[in-house]
Amino acid sequence: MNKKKKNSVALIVLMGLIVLNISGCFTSKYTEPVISFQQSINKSSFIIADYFERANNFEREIYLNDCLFNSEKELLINDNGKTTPLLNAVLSPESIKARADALILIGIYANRLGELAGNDSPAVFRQNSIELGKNLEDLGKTFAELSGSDTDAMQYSGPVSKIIGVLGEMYLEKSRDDAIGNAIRIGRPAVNKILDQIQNDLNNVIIPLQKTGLKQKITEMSAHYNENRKKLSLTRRRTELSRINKVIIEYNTLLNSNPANLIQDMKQTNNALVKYSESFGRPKDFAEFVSALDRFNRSVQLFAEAIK
Amino acid sequence: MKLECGELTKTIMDCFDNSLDNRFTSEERKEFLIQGKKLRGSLVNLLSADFYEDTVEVVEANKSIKEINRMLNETDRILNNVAAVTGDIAKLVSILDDLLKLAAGYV
Repeated sequence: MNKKKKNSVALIVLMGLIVLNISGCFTSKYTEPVISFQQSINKSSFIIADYFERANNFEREIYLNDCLFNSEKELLINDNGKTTPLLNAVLSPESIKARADALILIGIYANRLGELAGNDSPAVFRQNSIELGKNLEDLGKTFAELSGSDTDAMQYSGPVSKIIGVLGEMYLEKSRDDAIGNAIRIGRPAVNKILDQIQNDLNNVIIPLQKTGLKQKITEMSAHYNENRKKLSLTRRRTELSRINKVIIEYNTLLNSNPANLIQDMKQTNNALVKYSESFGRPKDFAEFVSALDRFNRSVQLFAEAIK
Repeated sequence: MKLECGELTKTIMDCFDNSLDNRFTSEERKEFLIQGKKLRGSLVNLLSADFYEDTVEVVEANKSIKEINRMLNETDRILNNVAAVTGDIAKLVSILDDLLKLAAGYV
């Protein structure tokens, strides 16, 4: 190989190294934490959505339990002009679906951040964004339609539209880190508003229903046991007590693992991520974000185990 | 405006607790359980109800709930006057039933 040829090879190798180094820096700032955040958001959205989706089944179960321990009580759809949970939904299925969808939207937002942080092909990302946009249009419509009958749904429609807008803007027109930084900063208020509203619905609707429902179940089962214990065989008493114990465990799990606390951790992590993106990668903010993310990941893990 | 469901939740929980407290007679315990379940029925219906601002009936209902909770906190007072306490709770159930007709919207 002559000297000229050797120099050309060295130049190509050097340029290759520079390109590799630049692309490494390109995604190194956000990739790992954003992907971890995305995974925990998805897990917790699934856990929390389940609380809303189970609400009507839970009420029917409490109603049936009440009928079981009260032979006087008839199974009715309408009891003196008031609908019962036998066939009627306590919370409208549309309202429940809208809240589950709002959580899914936050999951989609986190997924897009993850894809943006790790995607190698701008063309693929752009195509995915266009397809996603079509699906999101329907979600925006659901909230707009619900605003008439579900007074709390109005609180969701603004931030939902905002996130849909942010998702639509996530194209690789600027540098990747700029695009992620923008999406995080613009998305924060909308994500927090949705999380605030979900937390509010959990604390004011779902948790009081579950807390009083489980307590009623424990009380009725215990009252029935107390009244009949002398007539029951040892085996039957054991079975009854074991059933009561099972409901008490469920009740204690609810008291110790309030899903609204999971939302709180999610909000704190989202805020720490925004702070990190605004500080242009300051190590102190990165450490705070990682620490919030660790707390959030641990909470999600504990929750997943508690409600198994 | 909304009914103070946090306070109502506390009333219900106290009624259920009293129904499993053997300082009360068997009949009194049954009465607490019955009233607790009725209150819970009201809670289920009113939890997601929205009322027009300053609805007098809602303001009054919230006051009654707080007053009953204050009574339920004083165990000695209840033990000496169970009939009056359960009577007040029964009145509250009826007030809450009437509120349902005034709701402006639901979740």
